Amino acid sequence: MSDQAKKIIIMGLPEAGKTSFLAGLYYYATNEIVGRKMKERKPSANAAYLNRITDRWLQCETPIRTKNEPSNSFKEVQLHLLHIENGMTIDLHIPDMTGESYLQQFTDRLWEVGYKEEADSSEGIILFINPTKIKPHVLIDDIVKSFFLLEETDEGADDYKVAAPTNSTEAKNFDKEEVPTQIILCDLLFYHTQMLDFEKLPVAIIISAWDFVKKASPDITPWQWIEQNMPLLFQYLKTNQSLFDLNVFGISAQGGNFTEPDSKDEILKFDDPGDRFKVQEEATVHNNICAPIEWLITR
Amino acid sequence: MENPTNPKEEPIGVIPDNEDVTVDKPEEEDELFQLPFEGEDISEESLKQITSRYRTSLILLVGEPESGKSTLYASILDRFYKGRLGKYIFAGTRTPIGFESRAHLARCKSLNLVSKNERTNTKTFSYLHLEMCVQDYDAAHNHILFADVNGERFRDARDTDEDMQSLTVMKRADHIIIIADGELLLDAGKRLPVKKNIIKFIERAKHNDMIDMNKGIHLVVSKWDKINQTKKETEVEGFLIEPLRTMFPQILKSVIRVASRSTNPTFPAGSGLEAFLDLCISNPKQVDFATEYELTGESREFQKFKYSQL
Repeated sequence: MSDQAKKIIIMGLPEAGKTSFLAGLYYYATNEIVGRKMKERKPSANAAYLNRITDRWLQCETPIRTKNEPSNSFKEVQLHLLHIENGMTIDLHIPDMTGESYLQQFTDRLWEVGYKEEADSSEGIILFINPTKIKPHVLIDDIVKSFFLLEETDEGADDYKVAAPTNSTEAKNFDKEEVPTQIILCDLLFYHTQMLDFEKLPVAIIISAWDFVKKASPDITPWQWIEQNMPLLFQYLKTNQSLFDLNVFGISAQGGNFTEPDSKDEILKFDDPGDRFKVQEEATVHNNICAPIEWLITR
Repeated sequence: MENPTNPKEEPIGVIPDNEDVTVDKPEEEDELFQLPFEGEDISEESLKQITSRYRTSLILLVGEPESGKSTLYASILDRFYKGRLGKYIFAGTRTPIGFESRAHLARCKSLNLVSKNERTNTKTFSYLHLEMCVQDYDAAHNHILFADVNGERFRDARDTDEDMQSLTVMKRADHIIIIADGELLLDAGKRLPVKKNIIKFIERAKHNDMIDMNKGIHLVVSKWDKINQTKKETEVEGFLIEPLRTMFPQILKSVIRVASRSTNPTFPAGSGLEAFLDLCISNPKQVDFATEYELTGESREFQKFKYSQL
């Protein structure tokens, strides 16, 4: 069987879990993991980036932010995979685009020419949503004054701090980057359906940090999580089924939160780092972190 | 409702009228190109990208400056952020940034904060787009365009024939809705101008033959939660609504009482919004837009509403 070059676009806003997933995927493909579905067939010509992010993943260090990587906005990741069950050989190309570049697509409405070409020749999109990094929508009737007096640090939404009280009656400027995550994702998906040459855009949605979700709601499924926590996006996806070929996964690629000492200690206790993987499709739970890729290339 | 032979929309925003839709690709590989979907309000020039593809309800909501138009728009999206709005299901918007900038303004106003992003005093119409399904996820999509204009334009149209006649969008609009600030109606010192200005606007519109008597005009009273809370519904009905019904029995078609934001549990936030959307998608104009254009071909705005019958 000849090699099949397959390309997949990974999409997500900053800190959505894209790099952790890639690190986990590389570990999965290059190590003996019980029941794994894919393995590396031959080494990548340049695995420097993959090795760097995977080393951090193994040590439970927070991922290198892709935006801090040198050169252009996306790093080309290449994996030469063999599907163990059916013998299919796959050359997988995954441009690891920065979350900031997707945010910038929304705010500045600009696309890199190379991005359209990459996406048009891809099998589809993996969209990452990190439940811990969602910019919430604040209802007009729910607001409190502090909302407008917040100042954001460089580290993102979790690090908001309340500015010193002032007597100012001037509000914070409208900032497109502060728009709620739900509507940004609806918009990103909409113009991808319009700009790309797919009849129905294949989209595998990954709810990352799934361990965090399950801790709070043990019985929830990925679709239920979207319905309950991102109702606008849920409605948009359900009412536009003619535009999308969809599947939803809950994936824990890290096994926990690397920034919490207790959680990190628990994760480091795993003898086999492959045990960190938890993947949920509907009600089924397994450790096949390749499942979204498998679905995109075999659907 | 959608044209099955054209699965891709023509882009909004950067494509001039009557030109083929193409995306210029710079020669350099790493160059950027502008996405042809701006996300901001849709300009008159770009309306046909929506109206030529979808049967679209055009809603003209007019009122005094600060009467609550932005808050009303923002509160519709507010509700969808939390789930269905009554029987309505969110199916998309081509103007997410337009909605969100209004939500920002509405939040500022509710906190009595001044925003640097106050809309400029332009008198040009811009349009917000909303796409919804009714009841079922696989139901046909309803497209609504809200024609938005600065409240100053309402005042100008109230004051002069020339400005009233320039509101040509009134003739195409499926529904013309005047919004009255309910809080001002509770203020004995401010309610008289509110009433007077609505009457003057309708009279001048009628005088200039800008109102289709079949479609008429609808009235939205905002902040009804405050009227309810102070138990002054009857007083407001007697002061504004009944006199308008008496003066314009053929024109005033309905009154919708709305609370975009509310702390009143008996008239909670979002009350009246479903009725507002019911009105927006009701009785869509079933006419051949090309024929209408021929009859009234001088209006530039009509050109944007020629709908290709499927």
